[in-house]
Amino acid sequence: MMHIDGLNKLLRSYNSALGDLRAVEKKLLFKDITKLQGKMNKGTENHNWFSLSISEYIDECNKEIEQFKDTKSRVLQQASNIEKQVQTIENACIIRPIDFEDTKIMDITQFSEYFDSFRAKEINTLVKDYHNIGDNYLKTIEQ
Amino acid sequence: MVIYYYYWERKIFNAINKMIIRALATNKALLQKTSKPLIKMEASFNNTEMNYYPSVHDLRQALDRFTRNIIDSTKRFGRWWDGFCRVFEETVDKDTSEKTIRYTFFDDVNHNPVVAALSLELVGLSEQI
Repeated sequence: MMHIDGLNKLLRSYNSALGDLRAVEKKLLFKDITKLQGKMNKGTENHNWFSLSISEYIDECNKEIEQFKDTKSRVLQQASNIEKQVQTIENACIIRPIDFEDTKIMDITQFSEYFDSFRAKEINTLVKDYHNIGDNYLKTIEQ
Repeated sequence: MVIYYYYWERKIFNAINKMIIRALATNKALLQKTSKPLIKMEASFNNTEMNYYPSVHDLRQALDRFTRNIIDSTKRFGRWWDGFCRVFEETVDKDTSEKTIRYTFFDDVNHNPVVAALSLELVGLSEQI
């Protein structure tokens, strides 16, 4: 009986560690998941319920799960940062808004300047955001 | 990591597509707006001839350039090296001194049927001038 609570907690913790991962993150963390499952699989073998190895098994698995959760949270944090940058690109308005009521009618040069300089500035910012994805966020995950 | 790079590259590609489509649609709405003039044109009468500044030809060219510039913005987004998240660097063309990136999202965005259809509509609108 003394191990049942510990084993239940362990299984809940294992499920929560793997539960909210997307397919692509499961592929990314394949090695870590395999390592964790290797530890967990020991629980499928026959054990003597009075054996001291059961507490040892629970401790080892909990340690492995915590380690996995650390890696996972680092990956998910960077993924969320990347998602924000992607959203910024997706929602960007590169055509400068124009209020026809308050704006004097422009000649062709003014028209080009009005829209082109704004677009160039916006694109510069978005390109920096885009570079950040590869140079910072994905590099952090790589490490 | 390669699969993960492909995953994000696809998401970035979709985001750039949406940004360009939104810009082209806004451009279309601008050109279709008829309640107030968008660009000032001057006309002068010289004997039997009417002269316009800018000429209709120049105006069409400027509007077409405006549309092209929107799509050309994608040339600033260099692609990643295959299997890496390293962007192809900008290089300076020896002959033209123009800065270019060898692989960008331009070709793929330009071939997007929605982008192509909107560009065609915009050319049609500028021809109506």
